[in-house]
Amino acid sequence: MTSDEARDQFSPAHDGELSDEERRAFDATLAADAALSAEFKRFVAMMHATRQVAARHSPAPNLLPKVQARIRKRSRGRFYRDRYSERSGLHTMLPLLAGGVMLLLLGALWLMAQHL
Amino acid sequence: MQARAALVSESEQELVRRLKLREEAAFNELVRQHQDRVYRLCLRFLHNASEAEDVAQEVFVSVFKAIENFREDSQLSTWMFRIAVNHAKNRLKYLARRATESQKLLDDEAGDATMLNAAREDDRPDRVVEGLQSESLIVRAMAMLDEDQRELVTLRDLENLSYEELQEVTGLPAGTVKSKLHRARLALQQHYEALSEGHER
Repeated sequence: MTSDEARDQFSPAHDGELSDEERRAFDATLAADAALSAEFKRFVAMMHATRQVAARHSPAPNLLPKVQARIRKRSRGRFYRDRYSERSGLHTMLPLLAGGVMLLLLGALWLMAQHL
Repeated sequence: MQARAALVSESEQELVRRLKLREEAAFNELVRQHQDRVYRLCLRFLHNASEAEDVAQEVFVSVFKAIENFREDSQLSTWMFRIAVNHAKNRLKYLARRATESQKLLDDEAGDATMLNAAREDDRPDRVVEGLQSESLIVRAMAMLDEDQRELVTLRDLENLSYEELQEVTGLPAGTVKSKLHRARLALQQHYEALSEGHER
């Protein structure tokens, strides 16, 4: 394996994608070429620094309300027209529905009491 | 059908079915599940929190509008990533047209490496500083890559996409993805080392 061929294997070697045979040939080429070996070490160090960047990130802000507002506006109110669906769907409406049913029941009881 | 089942889990198929029925609760679930990754990807491309937030919102609006076109021959997240990359690249072009000062972007990017998160408390202070410097240099070096190279390094090395996902997102064949990514990494190394030398002087 020439130095250029070995250099082409830096990424597969770093990613663990070389077969055993390819890895042996790669290692043998590096062992015979100190400059290339140092170059590979620097490549690995650079990839390590890249991984450190990948590991650091800020969490997303809550995008949902603004996404819903955009969809509501662009669909001219066809979607997300009520504000309860903005949060988490039907189950947030259950307390309201229960309250409505209670009111109906109380109304029915009051009417029955009036007729008795 | 088997290929599709391998690519898309049952729960994802169910979510997609509900999304195609325009269930708002399903869409809420989708946003909550994916907002971190979509926002982070946008931030990686744009290096500006408010631009990234705006573009990430647009990505989800596009997903809502275009979900019927999702053929389920890839993972939903991969399809969304493709939309996110396209949006982010378009926004970059728009910002470039508005002649956003490149030096300001570079300054913001350098700040991002430290902004992106606090270092672990148990790290030694000298190593923390060293690490943050390396990260800052990587971010600067990435800004020096051309657009296609930056896209590949961002998706593979920062967002950890598999080669299959990279093919889906970029539309490039497997061999091309691998060779282009390798060239991008070598270019990144050159920029990184040049910046490191300048930093040490």
